[in-house]
Amino acid sequence: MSVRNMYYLVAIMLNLILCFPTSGARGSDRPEYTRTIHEYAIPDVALFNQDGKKVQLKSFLRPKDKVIILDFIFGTCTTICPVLSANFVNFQNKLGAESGKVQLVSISIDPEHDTPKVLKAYLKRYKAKPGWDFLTGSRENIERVTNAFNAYTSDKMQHYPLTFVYSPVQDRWFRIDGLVATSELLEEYQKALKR
Amino acid sequence: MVDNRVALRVIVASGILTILLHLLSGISFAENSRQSSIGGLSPVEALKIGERMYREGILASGEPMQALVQGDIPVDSTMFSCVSCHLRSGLGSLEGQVITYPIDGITLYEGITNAWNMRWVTGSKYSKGMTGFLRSAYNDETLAAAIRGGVNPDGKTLKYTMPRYPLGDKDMAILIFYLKNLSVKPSPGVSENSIRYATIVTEGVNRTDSVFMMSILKIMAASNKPTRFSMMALSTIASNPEDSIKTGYLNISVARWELKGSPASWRSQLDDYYKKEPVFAIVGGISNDDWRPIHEFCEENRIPCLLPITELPVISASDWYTLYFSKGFYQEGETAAKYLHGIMNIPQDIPVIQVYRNNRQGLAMAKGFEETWKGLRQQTPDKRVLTSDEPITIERWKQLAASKKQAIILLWLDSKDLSSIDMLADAPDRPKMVFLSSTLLGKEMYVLPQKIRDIIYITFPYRLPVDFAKSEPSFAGLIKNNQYPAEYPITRAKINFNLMILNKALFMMKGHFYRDRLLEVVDMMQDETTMSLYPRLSFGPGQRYLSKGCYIVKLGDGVTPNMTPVSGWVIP
Repeated sequence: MSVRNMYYLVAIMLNLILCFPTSGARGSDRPEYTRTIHEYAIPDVALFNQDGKKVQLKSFLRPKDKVIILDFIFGTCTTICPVLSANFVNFQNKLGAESGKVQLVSISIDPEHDTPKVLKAYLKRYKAKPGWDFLTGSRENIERVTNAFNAYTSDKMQHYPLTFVYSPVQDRWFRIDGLVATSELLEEYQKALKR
Repeated sequence: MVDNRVALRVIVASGILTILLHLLSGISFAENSRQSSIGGLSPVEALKIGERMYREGILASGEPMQALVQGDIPVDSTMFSCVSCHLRSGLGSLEGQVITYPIDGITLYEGITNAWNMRWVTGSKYSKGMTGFLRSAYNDETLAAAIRGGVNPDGKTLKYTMPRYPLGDKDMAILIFYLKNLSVKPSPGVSENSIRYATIVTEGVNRTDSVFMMSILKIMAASNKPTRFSMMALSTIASNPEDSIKTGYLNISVARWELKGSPASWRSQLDDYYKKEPVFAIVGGISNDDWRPIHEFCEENRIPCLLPITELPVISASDWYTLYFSKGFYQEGETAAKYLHGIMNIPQDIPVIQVYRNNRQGLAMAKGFEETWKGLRQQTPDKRVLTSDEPITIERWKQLAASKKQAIILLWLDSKDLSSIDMLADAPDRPKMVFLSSTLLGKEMYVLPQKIRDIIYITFPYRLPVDFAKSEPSFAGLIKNNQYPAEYPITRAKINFNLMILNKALFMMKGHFYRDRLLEVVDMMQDETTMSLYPRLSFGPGQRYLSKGCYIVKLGDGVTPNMTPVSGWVIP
């Protein structure tokens, strides 16, 4: 067993022990998550969207008048990403006409598999509306981005649920650790519109 | 899990099950003898509809299953269904920090202790000190309550990541019947303490390679003890002595299935072998021919086939049971198209010609290129298709060069066809670029005429020779000399890697020897970046081609030319 795997094992064991009373069954009525506020230095890398069009990430993620909601997912992910993505599309539906004020961004952490063709099929499967882009790129560039958001994991199967909300008013990012309900994502969106 | 509980259930169910074995190899009736009707359906129909609900999220009515996740997010089966998290075997998954518990027919109906939980997640032997129950056993009523309302038998709320499905009584009965029968009986080819594999060799493969493959598999089988890898794993995180027996000390046997004649005749031979003695999985295998008949046999019988050595795999986005190293020849064609498309200074209207023989190799390369090229919104390339015995004369080369001036020519031909390729260099309107395949050329790649090397580009699907020097010592030790890939035994390296994956998977299965589980644990493996021929072998749920890309390289000068990449690792 490699040292990396051993660390992983220890982390899982600690996680299990620490959250044991609610592991697999929980008493609370609402899902839990943590929220912190950050300023991230976005790397000036070129990624590609679901149409194969180049996207300069630094400018794309810093619009003057739009809230950005971003996550890191991959096309064949079985557990975390489907929930994040279902939330994205439900969020779009709930916002309705107001959805033009938000840019949803998913960035692949499996660039070898997630070609633009795969990304496009994924968005179609989730019935994504305009305003949700799924980006991929070289592994090197993807890792620069995940590092910038303190979201890097050595392997995609070790990733964990994260959502980032950019407030153009505050010029800061809200980092959400954990899976949230759409109502909670809407609350974060409203907070991002305020000073 | 191969234990007494399973054995008892198998005995009870064995009579009825025989009929279904060929249809549903992972599923068997455990306690259906008293149930003549499930939601108005026969047991056979209920299993079929139940599987569709579980895997595709389609109700008996044909409508998609609806659910609510995270409290307020409506989802339907186009997004995900039970199988997404719990997987085909029902034995659950571990993705990042999210644990999805088993919902197979055994685990659901027994109480789960905290010690069991720890062992299931980590395999830790330290779980023995843990006490207490995680949950009580489900019955049909409490299971329905969990699926509908997210409440476990002890009244606790399940995580909101588990969708709440408002199923009607009929659909609920069908789904519960399916779950009750999910992974309750070991797969064919598995008994209390043994696993039987087969490997496949077809006519025409290199005898040295096939002998090597059989010898290494026989060593694994005959030793009847943990292989080096599983010994290492067991020494660190073995669950307990009982599990060590289950994972490491199984009697393993490997049958050699030799297929003779043309691929069209293979299917009946495969059926005969399987009928004589079913196997748990196909391990490796070598063929120079089209793998399709074997692929289809495995798909129809739901038999995993791990990493066969073939350059002619079936290209499919949805098939499940065969895991390939790559898309082979097709992938080299794909890569050439993607690379060409990315070159900025190539005129949009530049002529592109594919030249290949009307054989499986040529057709696969040309198809990979053309489909990718057209997908990139380029015009259909021209083609020159040669019959299998048509010679390529000097005149033919001249005609090719003159037909389209300054063209890009893709020569999907082997070294015998390229003996006079230097004619292209002498032509008045020599091509702008010529693409070749390193897999088709083999070691002859290094003796391509000097005067044409400036316009030659070669698809190269493995780790670059220069990068081997940076590899970990354990892998570098496998390399016999510096002539890679001309002399390096690629086939042997693939066989070694296959065995490593098999041993790792065997351990990760923790005694749950179900065919679907074998592929599921492989899917959950971390990407491999050091121990294989490839720069990266990328695993992932349902991903069936581990190496996704290819280099484009050029040759340097001289009789022992260097290989220089002109691209990064190109992902088509």
